[in-house]
Amino acid sequence: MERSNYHTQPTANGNQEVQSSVVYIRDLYKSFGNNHVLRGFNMDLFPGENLVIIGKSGSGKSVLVKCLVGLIEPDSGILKILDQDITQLAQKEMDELRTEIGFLFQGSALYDSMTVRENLEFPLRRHPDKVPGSSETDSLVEDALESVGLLHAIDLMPEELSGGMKRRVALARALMLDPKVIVYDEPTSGLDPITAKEIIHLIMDIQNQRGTASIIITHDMDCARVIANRMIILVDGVNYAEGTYQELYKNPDQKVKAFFK
Amino acid sequence: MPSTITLPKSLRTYLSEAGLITRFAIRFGKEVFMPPYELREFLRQCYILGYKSLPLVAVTGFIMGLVLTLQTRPTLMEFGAEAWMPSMVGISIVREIGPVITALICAGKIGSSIGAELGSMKVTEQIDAMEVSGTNPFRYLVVTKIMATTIMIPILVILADFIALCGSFLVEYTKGAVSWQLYFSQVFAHLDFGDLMPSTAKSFFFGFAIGLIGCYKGYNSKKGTAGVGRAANSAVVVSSMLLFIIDFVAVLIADIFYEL
Amino acid sequence: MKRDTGDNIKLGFMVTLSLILFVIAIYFIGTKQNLFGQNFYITAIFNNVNGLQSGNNVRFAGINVGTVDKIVIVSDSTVEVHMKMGEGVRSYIKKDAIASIGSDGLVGNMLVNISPGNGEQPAVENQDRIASFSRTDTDDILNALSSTNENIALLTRNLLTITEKINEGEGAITALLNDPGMSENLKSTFSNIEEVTKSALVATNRLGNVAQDIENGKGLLGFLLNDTTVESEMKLVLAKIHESGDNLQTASVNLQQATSALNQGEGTLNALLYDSSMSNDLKQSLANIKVSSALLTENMEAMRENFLFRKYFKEKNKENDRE
Repeated sequence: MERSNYHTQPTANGNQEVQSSVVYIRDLYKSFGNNHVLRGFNMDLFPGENLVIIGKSGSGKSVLVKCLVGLIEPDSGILKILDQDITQLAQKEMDELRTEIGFLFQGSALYDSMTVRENLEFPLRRHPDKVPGSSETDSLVEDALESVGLLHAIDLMPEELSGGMKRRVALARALMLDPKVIVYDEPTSGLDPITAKEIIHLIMDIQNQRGTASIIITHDMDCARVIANRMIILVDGVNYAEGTYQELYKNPDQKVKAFFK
Repeated sequence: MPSTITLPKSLRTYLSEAGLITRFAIRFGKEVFMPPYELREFLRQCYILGYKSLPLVAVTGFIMGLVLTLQTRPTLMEFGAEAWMPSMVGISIVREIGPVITALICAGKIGSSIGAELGSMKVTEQIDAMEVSGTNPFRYLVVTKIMATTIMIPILVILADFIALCGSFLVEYTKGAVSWQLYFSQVFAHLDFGDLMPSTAKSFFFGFAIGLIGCYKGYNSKKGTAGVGRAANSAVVVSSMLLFIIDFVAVLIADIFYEL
Repeated sequence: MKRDTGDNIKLGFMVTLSLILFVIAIYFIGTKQNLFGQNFYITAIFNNVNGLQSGNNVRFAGINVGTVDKIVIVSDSTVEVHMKMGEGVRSYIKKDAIASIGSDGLVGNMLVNISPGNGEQPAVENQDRIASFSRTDTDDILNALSSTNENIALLTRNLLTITEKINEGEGAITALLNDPGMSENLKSTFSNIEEVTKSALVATNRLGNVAQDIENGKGLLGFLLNDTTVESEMKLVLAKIHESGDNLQTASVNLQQATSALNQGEGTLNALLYDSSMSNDLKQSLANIKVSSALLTENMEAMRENFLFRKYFKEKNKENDRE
């Protein structure tokens, strides 16, 4: 399948050049026993864009993102990140590549036994090349926390933080290695609408500052409307429909309409 | 694919569980020698799992020594053999009671805490988060914990043995006015390497079993808070049972080496 | 980081403490088995080791000086016991030391006891074999005890009659007891007894030899021996035996007096009781008497049976009858 046939839309940042995609997925299949979760999923992510993948529970969103970061190995298909096929990579190369991918987990996934500072230092420990000195580690951690507005919480334990604060610390942690791609798994789930909105704005701010490409997995339409440059509707393991929020809003298909109620 | 033999479901569950635990142990055996070594985390786990268990182990050990001596004393006195108390208590503590009681206490304390910790880390995707940030969670979480228990349980056993003997000495001292020197020279008079070495060796296996089962149950915990609870619970149950099996096997093996 | 350092110190303390305890335990068990320091090995052969095991203690003068290293079956009736001991005790164990198997208390572990020899021999060398003495079983001990008891009962009965007589102040014994010169007499008596028993021993030995020769040399040799010279020598010997027998009788009377006097514990005799060399002499004499008298009766019996002497004894009996 030719990429030009698939999607050639310019990036949202007004960059008119056709760029090679940051993430490139073709015919991705994954099943667990008789449960066929992904059935030939295709996707491209271009530099600097916010791609929202939306779908119902059990449509394969989580499996998709886990495939993206190599937590789950797909049964078949091509999955390239920054032109590297992650299904072919050795563990060491995979770890290298992972420094380019930030991941914000659904439940924040902060390490309970560590302070906020240690949580943020954790991604650095295996990549000393990225941080030459310990004083720089400190400043890096402080900078990251400051960018999410939680510098005062640096020595607290995760259990002392509220849900929204946790999410922000997790976001700071995902940014520690200055990734080129950030994957957000349900960034607003479990948060009240106001906090959710704060998080969404934070994500957008970071996006604007750093110009990273983002994949946002969600079922929250408000979130999608604000954030998305482009959307993919995931139904039964395939990209059922895609386009901007406006395009999809006008889509007459019943299954697509169901998301906009 | 239809299976040719249909086994009872419980037996099938048991066998697959045993297979999975073996596979987990083999994975540990492979990864333990692979760099990077998580030395700092290992020391931290030694502190948390070992040092923090010391008060509990010390108290139980002390009470075991007291109780054992108080219970045995009247019987031996009937035979006029109080002089045998120190060596008898010494041998039973060093050979069996010290290692087994300590290991059981630790299976309860450490096994459940490992099971619950790893279980909740699994459920809240912390293990995934670790993997994503380029740290091998198996090496960081599992290998360090199993190594820590394998090293720390024998150390706890030695300390527990000593504290239990102190407890026993206290009884002898108050009831029989036995001096410190006499008591301990009596204890060592009948202790052999055949008592000390197998029990120390089996303590390593106890520690390994506690760490292995705790980690296995936690690492493979099912989703949800119920899964965490079950992981902690079955970590304790399975490792306690395994301890007795190891103990039995250890006695048989020790007999072969030290009988003649 | 700071917290880590503190934790590590505590952890280090705990680990070090347990290692120290472990090393102490190894050290104590090791010194018990002489694992550290110079060792030497000696062996002894037994018929039966009575359940001795390797690792059991070896005692010398009641002190644990080593352990049984291994036990090897040499043949159907001999077992070789290898003992391992610290170099420090080697100079005290002489080449004529005797190993025996005993037990630690009635129900205790088996152990090897090494009894010292005369002390005139040089010290044992590594891998030496020392003599052994098979342990008497408890049955034997009990049998010996019962016969000893019987003897004691007999002895005390005799003593009782003697002391009663003394108490009643009969005869010369009482007078003797009050005699301050008694001790001198007693001493000379003892030396007499010793002499007598010695000569008796010599005589009986000679007699025994002769009788042996006669018995062995039946036929021609027996004929030769029936020579008159031999006969006269024989007569001389027999006369000596007679003499010694009489002496023995007096000696035992003296002895009885002496013992009862000792029991009385008066005058100079009391001092004698505490004279250890004296009592040793006494013991020695008693033992000698026992041995020699036993030999005597044995030889007498032998002679009676021997055809050469049959005639003599018949005559002797007749003489006695006449008297």
